[in-house]
Amino acid sequence: MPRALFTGFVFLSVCSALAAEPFRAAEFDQKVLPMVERYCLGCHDAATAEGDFDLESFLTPAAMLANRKPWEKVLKQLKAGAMPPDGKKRPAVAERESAIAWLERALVHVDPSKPVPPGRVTARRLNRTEYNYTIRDLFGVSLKLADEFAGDDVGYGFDNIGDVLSISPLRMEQYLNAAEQLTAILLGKTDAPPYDEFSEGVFFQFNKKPRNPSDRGWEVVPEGQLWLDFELPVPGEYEIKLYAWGVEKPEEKDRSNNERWLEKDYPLDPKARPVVEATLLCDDQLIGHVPVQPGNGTTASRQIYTLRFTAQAGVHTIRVHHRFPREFTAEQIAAHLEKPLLAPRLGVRRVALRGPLQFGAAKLAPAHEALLKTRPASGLSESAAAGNILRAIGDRAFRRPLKADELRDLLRFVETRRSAGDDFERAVELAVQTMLVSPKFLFRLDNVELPPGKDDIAPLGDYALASRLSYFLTASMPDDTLLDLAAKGTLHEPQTLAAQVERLLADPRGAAFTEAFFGQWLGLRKVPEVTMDRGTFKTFSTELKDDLRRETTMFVESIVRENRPALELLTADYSFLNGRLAAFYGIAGVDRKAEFQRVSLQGTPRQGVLTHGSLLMLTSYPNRTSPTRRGAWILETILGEEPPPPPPNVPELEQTRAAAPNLSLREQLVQHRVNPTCISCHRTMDAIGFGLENFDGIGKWRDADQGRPIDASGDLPGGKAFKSPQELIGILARRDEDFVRHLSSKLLTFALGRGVEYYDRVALDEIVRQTKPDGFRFRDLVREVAISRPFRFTQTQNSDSKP
Amino acid sequence: MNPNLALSTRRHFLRGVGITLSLPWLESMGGILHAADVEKEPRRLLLVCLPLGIFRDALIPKQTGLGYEATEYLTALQDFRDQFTVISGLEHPGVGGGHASQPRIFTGIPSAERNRRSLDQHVAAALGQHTRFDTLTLSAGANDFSWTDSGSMVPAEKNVADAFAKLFAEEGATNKTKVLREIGRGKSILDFVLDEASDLRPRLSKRDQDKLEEYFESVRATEKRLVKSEEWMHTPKPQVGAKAPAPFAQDEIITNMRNVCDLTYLAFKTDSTRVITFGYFRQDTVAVPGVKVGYHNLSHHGQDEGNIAQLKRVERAFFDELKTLLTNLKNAKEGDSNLLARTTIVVTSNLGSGSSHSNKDLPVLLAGGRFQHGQHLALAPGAVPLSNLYLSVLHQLGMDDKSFGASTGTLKGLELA
Repeated sequence: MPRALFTGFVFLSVCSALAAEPFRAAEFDQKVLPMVERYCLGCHDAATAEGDFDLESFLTPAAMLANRKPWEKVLKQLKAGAMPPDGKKRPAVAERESAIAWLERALVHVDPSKPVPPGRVTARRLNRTEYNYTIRDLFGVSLKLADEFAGDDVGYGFDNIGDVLSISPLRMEQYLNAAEQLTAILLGKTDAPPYDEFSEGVFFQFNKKPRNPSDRGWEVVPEGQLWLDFELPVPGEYEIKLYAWGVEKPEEKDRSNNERWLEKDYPLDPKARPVVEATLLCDDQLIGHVPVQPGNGTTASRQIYTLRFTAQAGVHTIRVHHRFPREFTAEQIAAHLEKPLLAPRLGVRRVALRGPLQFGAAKLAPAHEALLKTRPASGLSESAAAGNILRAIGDRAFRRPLKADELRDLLRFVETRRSAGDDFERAVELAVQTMLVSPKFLFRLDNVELPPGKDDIAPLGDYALASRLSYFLTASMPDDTLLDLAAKGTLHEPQTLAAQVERLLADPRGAAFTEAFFGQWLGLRKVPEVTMDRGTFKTFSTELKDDLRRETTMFVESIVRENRPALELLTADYSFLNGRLAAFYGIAGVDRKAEFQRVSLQGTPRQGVLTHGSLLMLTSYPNRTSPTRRGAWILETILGEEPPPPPPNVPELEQTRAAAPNLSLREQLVQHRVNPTCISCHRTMDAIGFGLENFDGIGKWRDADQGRPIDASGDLPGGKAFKSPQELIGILARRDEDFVRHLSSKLLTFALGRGVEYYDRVALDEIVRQTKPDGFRFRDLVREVAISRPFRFTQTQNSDSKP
Repeated sequence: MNPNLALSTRRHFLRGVGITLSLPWLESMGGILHAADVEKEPRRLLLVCLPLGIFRDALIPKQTGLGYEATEYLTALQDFRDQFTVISGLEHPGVGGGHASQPRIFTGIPSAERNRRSLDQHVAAALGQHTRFDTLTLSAGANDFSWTDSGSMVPAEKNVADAFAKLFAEEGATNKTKVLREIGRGKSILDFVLDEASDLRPRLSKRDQDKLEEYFESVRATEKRLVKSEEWMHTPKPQVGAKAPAPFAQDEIITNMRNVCDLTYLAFKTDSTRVITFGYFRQDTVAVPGVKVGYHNLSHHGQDEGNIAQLKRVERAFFDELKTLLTNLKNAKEGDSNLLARTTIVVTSNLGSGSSHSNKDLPVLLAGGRFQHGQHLALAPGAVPLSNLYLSVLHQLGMDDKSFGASTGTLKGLELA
C-alpha cells in the first residue's frame, strides 16, 4: 500500500501545533496555487463549478481568509485523499502534503492585530427539552407539553443550534394549544383533573417477595412494602385509590398463576371485619392507614380504599406497606412474625391517582400563585391586579424584567378582551397565552438592543448571559439567583460565573446538562433505539440494553460530579455495574442481585467508555460488529475528525461476503476496499475499529469469532500500531491534549448553540491551557467554557457577515 | 378548583368545526401539481383497513393479469370488475410485530422508528383546504390508522351518529356564538403577537430576522386556519334527506360497516370532506348469521375448515357492504363523471395472514379513481414496498411528492387511465 494512504488523516493537534508557527501568506503562491491550478480548476473553475463548487473565485490568501469554508472543504478532501477523484491526475505525495500543511496553518490563522471575534449566535428557539423545563420552572408544574411537538432539528451533533432550529405552522398551532392547555390547568378549569392514572400492583417494586403473583395482583407479607414512582403534573391535593384485599389465613404455598383466573367472585360483606391494614405514603410522608377487608384478586376491583394527600409537582414515590390490624397486640404480632408466610396478607391489585382536586395547601410557584390568586379588590384596581399578574409571569417568562411598553401593550390587550365581553380572569388568561406564544418566550434573543460596541464587539447583556448559562447547564430558564445577579450586573464577572457553574452543576437541574451533552456527544440518546439480532446475540435483551445505558450514564455523571480528569472518560479503571452487568462482563465479586455500584475494572480488559457495551452496541450492526463504524465513531467522537461521506454506488459488504463466505470479517473488509477512492478513509477507519474486535456486537468479550481467533491489531493515523484494545486506548490517551481540545470544542458548540469557527481556536487554546495544570478536570473545562470570550461576548447586530 | 366549570378550549371547538390538530393545510409537503384541475375536478381518498387480515384464498386470484378467475370475495364485486385492481405481494419493509403493525399500515414507517404522518393526513394537508373538514377519521370498529407529523394518533369518531351530527346537524345559535367567540380570541392572540413581533423586527439583526420570519409565517398560517374555520361557521351545513343512524348493539358489525359506508357516501357527495379513513374490526362475537366464534379467534383459523367458513362469512359481509358503497358512489353523478371515478379507494390489511400474524404479502384492493383497472397485479413478495402504491395514489390525486413512507418509486404495473 502506498505511503500516502497511511497519512489519510492528520490529527487536529497537528494543526494546532502548526498554527503556533508563523503564517506566511506569501507561500500560498508556491505551495497551494500551482497544485490547485493544475489538478482542481479543470472542474472547479468559476464557469464549470462541478458539484456547485467554484474554487477559482477564492484564489488569493486574502480571499481565502475572508471565505474559509470552501478551503476547509479542499483541505478535508485532500486529507482524505478523495479528491481529485479516481481516474483524474493526482498531485504527487510531497506536493499534496506540503499544500495540506500550509492550509492547516492558514485556515486557523487569526489576525493578531485585531481583537478576536467572539462570534454570534442566531436567535435560538427553545427545543423540546428546554420548553418543558422552562414551563416547569416558570410555573412549578411537570407537564411535558412539548413531548407532543414534532422533533427538533439537529446541527453539529446537537439539538440546540440556533441556525437550524426551525418553526412551522404546525408547531405554532402546537404552541397555541400548549399555552391554552397550560393556563386552563393552572386556573383549575379543565373538565377533568389533569392527572388520572393507575398502575397494576404487579408493576410495583418490592422489598420482600410478594406471594401468589398473578396479573390480578400480589399478596404482601408482613414487613413487606411495594413502591412505584408517579409523576404528578401540578401541585395540589390528589386522591389515591387502593384496590386491595385482605387474606386472613393464607396458605404457605403459592398457587400457580392460572389458579387466580379460576378464583370465584363473591359478594363482599360490607360489615366484614378488616383482617389487615395498608399504610400509604407519598415519598416519606404518611398519607394514611386503611383497614382492609377480606377478599381476593377478583373482588379487589370493588374493594377500593380512598385517601387524599397534597403534593408538589414532580416525581413522587408512592409506597404501600403491610400493617397488622391496629387491635393486634404486640404478642400477636410477634407470633405472626415467627411464621410470616402464615400471617394475614395485604393483597394489592391496583393503585390509582387522580388530581389535583383542588390546589389546597400546596405551595405554588410565584407565577402560578399570581395567576390563580391575584384578583381586583378594594384598593387593587383591575388594571393594577392584571399588571401584578403579568409582571410576575413576564419577568420570568421573558427571562428579564418586563419593559414598561410591553406591560402597557399587554394591559391594553386585557382591556380589549374585557370590552369584547371576557371576564377578568379570561382576559388575563389570554394575555398570558400571548406571552407563551411570543417570540420573546419561544426564542432566546441574545442580541436585541446591544449597545454598538467597539469593533462591533460587545459584552452580552447580563440577562442574556444568565439565560446562556442556565440553558447550557440546566436546559431551562435562569432561576432567581441568576436573575438577581443579572439585575445587579455582576454575573459577567468571571469569578461570579465560575461560582454559578459550580452551583448549577451541583443542583439537581444540572442533570439536564449531563443527559443532553453526553446523550448527544457520545450518542447515548440513540441507545434505546438499538435493536440487535436475538438469534445472533442470545444474551441481548431490553433489560441488558437499559443496564448498559445506565452504566454509561452513571459513569459520565460521576465524571461531572466528582470533577474527574476528562481523560478518565477513555481510561477509567472503574465503572458502574449491577449484578447482571458484572456477570455479563465476566467480572467476579459482584452479587448477581446487586444494584448499580462503582466497580473496579483493574485486571480486566475494560477501561473507559470505549469498552462500554452501550457504545460498542451502538456502533455495531444488528448481527455483527462493524470495525468501520467503530473506527469512524472514534475518529469523529473522540478525535474530532469527520470522515467524508462514502461515495455513491459502493457495494455492500454483504455482497463481498456472498462472494467469499469463508473469509474472516477482517479479510472481507480488506476485499471490500478495492475501490481506491474508498481505501483512504476505510483503511483508516477499519484499522482503528479492529482494535475493539475482542468485543462482540453487544460488548461481550470474545477471543474468537466463528472459530477464528480475534486479531485486534491495527494502527492509528500517523502510524502508531497497537495489538489490543488496551494498547489502542493507551495511544489515544497519550494524545490527551487533542482529546481535550476536541471535547472542549463540543462543549463550546453545545454551550453557544452554534458551530465552532476557526477564530474559536483562540478560546479553545485558552481552555486547554487553563485546565492543563490540574489535569483537565471536567468541571474545570465547563467553567472555562462559561468564562470564555465567545460565551460572554458577541458580535453586534451590524456585523452579521462572518469575519 | 371548580370541577363544574367546564373547560371550553379553543382546541375543543376547533375540533368541533373540523379543524383537527393534525395539519395546517398550508404545510403541504409536496405541494399540489395542478391545484386548479383539482378544484375543477375534486379528487377523493378512502382508506380502509381490516386489521385481522383477509383470508387470502377468498380474495387473491390464482391467475394474474386481466384474465383472472374471480375469487369468492371478488365475485361480490363482479359488477365493478373494470373499476378495481387486486394487488398481491406488497409489504411495508421493516414493519413487523403482528398486530403491533396496525398503526403503521397507512404510514409505512418502520417499526423501529417513531410513527409519523399517515397517507390520509398527508393528502388532507393538500385537499383539506377545499372542504369543511380536512379529513374524517371514522371507525367501523378500529381506530388507530391516522397519524400526525409528530406521531400522535388522530382519534377516530367512534359513534356514527355523532359523526353524522358533526357533518350535517346545524349548530345551535348559542354554541355557534361560543365557537365564533373562541375563534375571535384565537385571532386576537395572534394579532397581538404579530404586532409585538413587528415592533421587535427592526431591532433584530439580519440573521435573527430571517429566523423570526419563519415564526411570522407560521403565525399568519395559523391565523388563516382560524379564518377558514370562521368562514365555515357562517356557511350552513349541507342538508341531506337521510336520518341520523339509529343506535345499534356493539356486535352488529355489519350495521356498523353499513353506517360508516353510508356516512362516507354522504360526506363525499356533499363535499364535506375529501379524505376518509376507517377500519373494519371487532375483537369478540359478531352478529353475523352462522357465526358462533369471535372474529379475532376466527382470524386465527389454524386451517380449520369450520373456522374458515365462519371467517369467510364475516369477511364476505364486509365485501357486500363495500359493494353497496361502490354502487352508491358510481350512481352519484358529479359533473360529467361520477363519484367513484373521482374517489380512490384502498382496502388493505396490516396482516398478510391473520392466522400466523405475518406482516408480509399484504392484500390490497384498489378501486375507483383514474387507474387502469381490471387486473390482478401480482408482485414477487418482499420486493416492493406498499408505500410505492401510496406514492402512485398521491400522484393520481394531483400531488407531486417524491416519496412517501418507505417508497422506492411509484408502483410499476399500475397505470393511469
